[in-house]
Amino acid sequence: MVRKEIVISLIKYALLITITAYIFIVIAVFLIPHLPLSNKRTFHIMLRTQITLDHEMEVTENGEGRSHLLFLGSSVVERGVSDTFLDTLFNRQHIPYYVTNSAAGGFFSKANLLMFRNMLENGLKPKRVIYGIFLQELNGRSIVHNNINDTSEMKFRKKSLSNVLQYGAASLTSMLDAPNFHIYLFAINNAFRDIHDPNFFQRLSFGENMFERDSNYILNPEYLKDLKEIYHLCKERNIPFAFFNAPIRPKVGSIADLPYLHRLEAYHAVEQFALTENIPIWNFDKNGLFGDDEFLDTYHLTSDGAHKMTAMLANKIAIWQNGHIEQDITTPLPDSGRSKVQDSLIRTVFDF
Amino acid sequence: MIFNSLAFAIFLPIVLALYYVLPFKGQNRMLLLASLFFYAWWDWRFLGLLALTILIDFYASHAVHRAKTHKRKKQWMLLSVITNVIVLVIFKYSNFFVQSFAVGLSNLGFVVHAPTLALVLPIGISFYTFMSMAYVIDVYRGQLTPTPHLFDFALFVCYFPHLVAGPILRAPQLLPQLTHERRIKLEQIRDGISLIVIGYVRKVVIADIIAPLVSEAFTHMDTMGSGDLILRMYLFAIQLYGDFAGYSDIARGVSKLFGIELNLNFATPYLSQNITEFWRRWHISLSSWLRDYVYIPLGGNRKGKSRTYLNNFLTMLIGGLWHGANWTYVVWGALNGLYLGIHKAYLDLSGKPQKQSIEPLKWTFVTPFKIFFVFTLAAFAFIIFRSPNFLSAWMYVTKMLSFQGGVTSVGSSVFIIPFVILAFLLDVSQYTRLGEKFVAHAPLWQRAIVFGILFGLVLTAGADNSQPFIYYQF
Repeated sequence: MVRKEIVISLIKYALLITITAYIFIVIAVFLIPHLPLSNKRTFHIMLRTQITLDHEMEVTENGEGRSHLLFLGSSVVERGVSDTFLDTLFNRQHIPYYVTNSAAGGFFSKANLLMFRNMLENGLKPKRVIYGIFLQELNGRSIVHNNINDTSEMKFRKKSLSNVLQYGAASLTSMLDAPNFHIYLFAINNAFRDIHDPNFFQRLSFGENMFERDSNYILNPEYLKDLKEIYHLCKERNIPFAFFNAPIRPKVGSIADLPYLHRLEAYHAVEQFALTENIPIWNFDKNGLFGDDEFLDTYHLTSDGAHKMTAMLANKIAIWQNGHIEQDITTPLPDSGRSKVQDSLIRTVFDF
Repeated sequence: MIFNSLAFAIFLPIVLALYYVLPFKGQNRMLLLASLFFYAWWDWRFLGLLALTILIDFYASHAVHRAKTHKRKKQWMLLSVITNVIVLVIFKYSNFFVQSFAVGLSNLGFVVHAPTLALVLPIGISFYTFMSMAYVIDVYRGQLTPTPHLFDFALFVCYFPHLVAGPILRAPQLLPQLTHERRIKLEQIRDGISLIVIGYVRKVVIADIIAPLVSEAFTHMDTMGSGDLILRMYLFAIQLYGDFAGYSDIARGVSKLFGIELNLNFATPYLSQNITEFWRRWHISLSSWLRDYVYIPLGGNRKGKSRTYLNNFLTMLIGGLWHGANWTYVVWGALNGLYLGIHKAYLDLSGKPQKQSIEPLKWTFVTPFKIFFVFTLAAFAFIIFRSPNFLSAWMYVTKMLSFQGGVTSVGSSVFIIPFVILAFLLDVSQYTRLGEKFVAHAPLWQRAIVFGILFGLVLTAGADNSQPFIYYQF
C-alpha cells in the first residue's frame, strides 16, 4: 500500500497541470483571431467560414446598415479581389455594401459549397454572392481537395466553452502545422491581394505560389454540380448571384506553366449554365486587359493586378446593383463563347 | 501500446491505481501482468517469444551459478548468449543476411534466388534480449547472484516502461528495486510527472512537428536546394533526439511513479565538445552495454594501440547493426567508429588525456564552435541512419554538398524556429540543472503553470497528430 499523501500529491499535481493546460488551450483559442474549431483536414475551409461569420457579426454589431456582398471561388479570387479596396470604392460611390472575400486558395467548387452551406447554416445573410471562376475550377484535382471525402461530415462549431474544451486542442494543432499555419497567416493578412510589395519576412510567412501543374485535366461533372448547388442555395434564399472569369497571364514563362488544355470545355459549361439561368457572367480574360507584370505567376495577380481587377468588378457590381444583368458575351450562342476562350488559349500558347 | 496513445492514457492511471492499493507482492505480480498486457496490446503472439527468452535466461543464470567448474559455467553462459543471438538473427537479421549473401553471389556472377522469411519484427526485441543476455553474463562474471524467483526476473525483463525502447537496464541496478519493498517519495512523484511532461514535449511538440519536414527532404530531395537539405539534416538530428530522449524521459517519469528509478539515457548529447563525449551522452544505456559486453571482451584498450582502434571500430559497427537489419545502420556505425578513431588519434598525438566521465567540460570562447562541429558530425552521420538505403543516402549527401540552390522552402523553415529554440532551452535547462532545481524548489503553483502550459502544448500538438516512436522499430 502506498501512503495516502503520496496518492493525494500525485492526483493534486496531475490535476493542477491538466487544469492549467486546458486554461491555456481555452485562452489561446479565444485569443487567436478567427481560429475555427476544426481539425487539420478541415482547417482551411473552416477558417474562411469563421472569418466570414466574424466579419458579418462585427459589421452588424457596428450598426452600419450596409449589406453583405460575398465573394467565393478559388485562389484566383482569394488573391485577385481586394475586399478592403472594394469597400472604399463602394463608400465613395455610396453603394451600400460591405465585402468579404471568402475564396479559399487550393480549393474548388466542392470546398466552396461546403463553406457556403456552413455559413448559411450559421446565420450568414449575404445580400449578393459573386463566384469567381477559373477554368481549372471544374476539374477537381487538387492535393488539398483529396482530403475532402465526406463533405456532409464537416460541420462548423460555434465557440462555446464546452466546444472549446472538447475541440480546442485539435483546432490549435493547425497552428503547429507548417502548411496550415502558412494558410492562416496568408488568410488573415490578405496576402497578396492587399500587400503591395511583400517584404522578406512577409514572403517567408506567406510562402510562394503553389499550384497544380497539369494541363490535361478533363471536365468533372461532379464539380459543375457543386457549382450549380451553390447557385441553387442562393436562388432558394433569393440571393442574387453572379459569375466572373479570372484572367490568366498573357505570356507563359515555362512549359510547366501552360494553362489547362480543357479550360475551353469548362468555360463553355459554365457559360451555358449562366445563360440558361440568366446569371450575370463577367469575363476578365480578354486580350489587352492585363499585362504580364500584373501577375505573380500564370494565374495569380499581383497586388496591383488585384486592385485593377477589383476596380473593374466594382463597376460591374454597380451596374448589376441597379438591376442590370450583364452577360459579357457578344451573342448568347455557345459557339461565340467558345471562340472567345479559344482566342485566349491560342494567345497564351502562341506567346510561349 | 505506445506512450503517445489514448490506450496508454487509460492504461497508466488504472495500473497506478491498482499499484497504490496493493501490498508489495501484489504490486510486483500486477506490474508483471500489466507489462505483459502492455506488450500484448501490440501483438499477443509474441508473448511466447518473450516468455522463451525469460525462461531460457532464468534457468541458464541458475545453471551458471550452480556449475562447479569454470568450463561448465562458460558453457551455460554461451548457451544463453547463442540462444539470444539466434532469436535476434531469426527475427531481425535473417532476411538481411540471406539477401546480402545473395547479392554478394550475384556480384560474383552466380544467379541466386534467395528465399526470405515473412517475419514480423517483434517490437523491443533488441532491448529485452540485450538486457536478458547481460543478466546471464553478469552472473557468469560473478558480479550478480541470480534471483531465485522467476516472476522477479520476468518483471526485470519486461517491466513495461523500458520494455520496447529502453533504456537497456542492468540487473544490479533494477533487480534490487524490484525485489525489495519500495517506499515512494514525494520527490519521485513530483519529478516523475515533470519528466513525463518534458518527455511528451520532446516527442509530440518537437520531434513530431519536425518529422514531416524531414520526411519531405528524404522523399523529394530532387526538388530541394542544398540549403534545404543541410537545414533538414540538422532538423532530423533534432527530431531523432526529441523522439528517443522523449521516450526515455517518459519511461523514467512513469517508472518514478512506481517508485522505481531508471537510468538516464541521454545527457544533453548535442552540447558535447568532442565526439567521444557525444557517445558518452547519447543513448548511454546502449553505449555502456556495448562497452561492457563487446568492447571490453574484445580486449578494450589492453592489447595495444592498434587493437584499441580496431576494438572501438568493431564495437561501433555492432552498435550500428543492433539498430536494424540494413547496411545503412552498419555504415552509420562504421562512420561513427571512424569519428571516434580520429578523435582518439588526435588525443594520442597531442598527448591530451581522455576524460572518462560525462561531467561538463570547461567552457571557453571556442566551446560553441566545438559544440556546433560535433553536432554537425552527428547530424551528417544521421543522414545514413535515416535513409532507406545506401543509394538514397548517397544521393542526399551528394546533392547537399553540391551547394546548388539555397533554402527554397523558407516558409516552413521559419515556422520551425520556435520548436528548435524550445528543444535548445530544454537541453540547456538539463545541462545547467536549472530545470532540476526549478522542479525541486519552485512553489507548486509555479510548477503547475510551467508544466501546465507545456502540457497544453502537448495536448495541442498531439490532438490531431500521433506518430510512433522511431526506436520502436529497433
